[in-house]
Amino acid sequence: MAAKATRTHGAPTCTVEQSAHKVDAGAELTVTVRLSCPHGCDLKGRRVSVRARDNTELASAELMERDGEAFVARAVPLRAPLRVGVQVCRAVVAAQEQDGVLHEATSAEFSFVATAHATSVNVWGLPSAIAAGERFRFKVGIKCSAGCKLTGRQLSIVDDEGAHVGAGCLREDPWPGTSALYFAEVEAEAPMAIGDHWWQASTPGSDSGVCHAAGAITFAVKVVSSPDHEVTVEAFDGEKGIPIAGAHVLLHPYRALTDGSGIARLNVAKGRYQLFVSGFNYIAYENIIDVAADVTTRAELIAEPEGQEDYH
Amino acid sequence: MARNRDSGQKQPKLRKEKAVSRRDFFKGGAAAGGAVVLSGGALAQESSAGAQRIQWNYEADVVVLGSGCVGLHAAVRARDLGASVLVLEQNFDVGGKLVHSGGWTSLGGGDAIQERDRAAADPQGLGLKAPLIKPEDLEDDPDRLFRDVTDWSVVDATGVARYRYNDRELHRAWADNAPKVRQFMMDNYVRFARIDGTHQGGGMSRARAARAIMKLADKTDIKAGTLSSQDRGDPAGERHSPFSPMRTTPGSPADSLGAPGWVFGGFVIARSLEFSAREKGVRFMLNRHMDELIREQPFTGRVLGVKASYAPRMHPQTGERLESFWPNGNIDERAQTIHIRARRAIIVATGGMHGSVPLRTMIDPRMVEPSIEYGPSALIGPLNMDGSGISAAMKIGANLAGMMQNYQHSLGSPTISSVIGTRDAIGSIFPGHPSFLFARAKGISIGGAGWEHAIAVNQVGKRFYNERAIANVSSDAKYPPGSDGTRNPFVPLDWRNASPAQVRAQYKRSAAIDAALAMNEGSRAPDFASGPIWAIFDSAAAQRGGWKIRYPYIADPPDGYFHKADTLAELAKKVMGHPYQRMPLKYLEETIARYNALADKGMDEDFEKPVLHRIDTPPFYAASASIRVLDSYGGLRINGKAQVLDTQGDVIRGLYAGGEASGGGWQHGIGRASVHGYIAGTNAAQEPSA
Repeated sequence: MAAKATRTHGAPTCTVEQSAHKVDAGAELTVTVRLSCPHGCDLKGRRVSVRARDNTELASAELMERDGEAFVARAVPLRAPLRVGVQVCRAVVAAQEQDGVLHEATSAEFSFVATAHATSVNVWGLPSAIAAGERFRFKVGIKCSAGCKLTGRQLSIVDDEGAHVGAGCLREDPWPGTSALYFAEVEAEAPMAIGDHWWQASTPGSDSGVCHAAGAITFAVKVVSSPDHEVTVEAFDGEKGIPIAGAHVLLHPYRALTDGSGIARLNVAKGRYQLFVSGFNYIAYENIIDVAADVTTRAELIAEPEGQEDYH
Repeated sequence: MARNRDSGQKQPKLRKEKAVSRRDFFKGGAAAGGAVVLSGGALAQESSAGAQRIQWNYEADVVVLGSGCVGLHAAVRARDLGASVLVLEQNFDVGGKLVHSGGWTSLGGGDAIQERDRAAADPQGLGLKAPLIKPEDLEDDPDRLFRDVTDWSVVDATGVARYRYNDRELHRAWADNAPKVRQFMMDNYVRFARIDGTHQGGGMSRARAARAIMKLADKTDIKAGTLSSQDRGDPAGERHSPFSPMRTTPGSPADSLGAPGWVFGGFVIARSLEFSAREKGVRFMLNRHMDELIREQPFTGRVLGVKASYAPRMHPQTGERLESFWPNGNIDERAQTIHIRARRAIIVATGGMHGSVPLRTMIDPRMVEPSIEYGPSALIGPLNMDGSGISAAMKIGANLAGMMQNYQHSLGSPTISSVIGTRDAIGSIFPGHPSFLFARAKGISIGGAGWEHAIAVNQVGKRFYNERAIANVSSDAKYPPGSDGTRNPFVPLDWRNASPAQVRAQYKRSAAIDAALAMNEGSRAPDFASGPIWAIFDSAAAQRGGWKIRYPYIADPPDGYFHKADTLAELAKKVMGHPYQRMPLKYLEETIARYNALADKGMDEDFEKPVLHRIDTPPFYAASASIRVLDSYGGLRINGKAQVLDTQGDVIRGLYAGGEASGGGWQHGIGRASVHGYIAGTNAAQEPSA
């Protein structure tokens, strides 16, 4: 009995769509591979291999989904190399003969750029007003765009003149509530000159291991003259006569929160201030006060009317 | 009153059937009651309806479309007058928007509660304390009430004349019936606390509003007016109950309303009237949406019935159909499309129209924005406020009225919610009520003061207004005079109430919503929609405010309405999880940098927000601050009998409407809807039987 003749349908058409053309080195991207035979053959189950230029297999998947004439392997995960630069890859489907029909091998080339991880720098916890020459603390956080652990990374603080005024080393654990924002607490000394000073917190780039770009942020350090007097603010509910804890007191640039007795104390330089006392669910209290000596002021706050959402 | 639980009383018995003929029977073997009939097979009724012949699946004397405040009052009233009544409700349970309102019922005209409090009496033995209002401010009559609700001179704090444009025939009828409705509600198990003011739209000169109350007890008993703690729900335990899905606190204490030991809420009225309706034999067909009104001829003749489709709501996890709290009296009809004949009349009680973009943009073209929230959508469902009653009546020739009364009103036009991070800021429901399955988060209530600690940005991440003024939208011109800046002493019909000096003195409208709805860089042709609004804040703000950044205040798993990120850049991208957010918050980092610089400077040079707090402490949050609208004030044109009128001013025979499906009056809430329902039910039941 003569062997059954094999027919060839040639190489199926292979196309690749990628989730990104730029991706952090070492981070994940996905590719969707489509394969179709001009004769409409069923290619379900065929295996697609994603390979690097040196033919190393980076990922593989089976074509399990039909989309019109094409068979699809959707969102195949692929990890970018740690090396920064253009990466050329191929999606390869091997030749296969089935039921007397030969589909020749096929492939599609695609590329992406593996980039250095961006670093985002943030500063918080600065006192709103710092007396000249006073030592103060604040926090600096750094986040890698790929969420890398940055423990031990160095950061430095320079002043308006570029002079080094502080340094820090990122701690072991990320800042509470964040997934990968690593932080350091920095101590520095305020300049003697009164006014706003623009400092910079920065972290250098790195080429070892995963490549990280440098990052920096400029922030204001508000320096005021030494306090002259104490202002005591007593926040009360104007209708119930009870103290309001946690009310916010603003004598710009000085800020404070009231304690459990509704009292806040602020040491301020002498002068005229606009006082705002605000509490959640209260209409803010406003007043002008002149500070020429220690002063105590009582702020009676009126509760907000029923919210608009409390309709009847 | 938990389902299938002994409540200490028998389940409501259906009123003895009247004249059920041999050919009449009920679907699914339901007990007889109300002469709502299914006509099937060879016994089918056929009616001429234009060119088509309709095979009716059910019939009743009066068919009520909707089971909210209008529908319940109409149904019970019509049943009391001997009509068989079938209520169609698109939701899985009865009550509509009424069930989670505050239950503040403004009637008057010398009603029974005004008289009770004027006499400092407590004839029902509720244990009430002394009245809260002086007797002379409770002395009232329908003529005074009519004058008050049509007083041309009253202007509110947003420059809106509250009563000037009210339809006179409608409000004459409303004032004449208000005292009767108070008694009607009381006759149907509703009890009231002391009168403590007057509701929006209820007039300036007299106190007319009291909260509907139930007394806390071991068990729920509608007839006795008692409510169990389980059915009340537990705000401290973050739980609502299926009985009482009230939006702020389940069953708020009524101690300060002269009713110690009682709680108030709209659920009191909804459940009491529902109980009474079922007891009297009103039949309910739930999960059933009215699609079309059928008239003898397209634009002439009597209205004969409705075409209605099956619209069940399914449990998102189990796929099972959601069921009503009480089952008795329900007709479980699951055919996809049915026709229902009304022998006497149909009452359109379908509520407002803000769920319909084509209808709502008749009032305000900016409401093309698809993210605008309307009604308690999770509670009442996706067909809530879809305007179907209005559009169906328009298709058979009905006219509209009062469309302008939505405009620039704090309840009838859009506002920005201070309940943030939820898709249902209006509902703001805790777990325990089935609708939470759809809301997925109660939301975080930051109040107006909370905006001091957050910024509001548009869909491209730019600020647009002084956030602290976002909540400055309430504008009530009502008793007592002097409230919200109105003139005091108040003289009715006095030109001084509306003088430029008076309006200047009291005007306080915030234009935050107008800035929010303005076109921005993200607005695209053809609609140029403004996009969602986001509250942006940091963890320091959340800590200062004690905001609960956790389930059930935010969704778990996330649903796109609340986002958290380590950095602002990440946050700007994450908002794309919102179904109506079409782009990242392109300018967010720039906006925050500017805002922080202004905070350091101590002066908001951009929007004059009085106090600014730096937004710099990670993590950062973006919470949807929905643009939402509560009330509909435009709708079908009705006369004093609640009959729908056509474009020639003629009555469309057999068709009634009320509440938010109708137009012609600016009045919010239960007072409006209850009286409309009562009038419609009264007249519908007395229509000749076709």
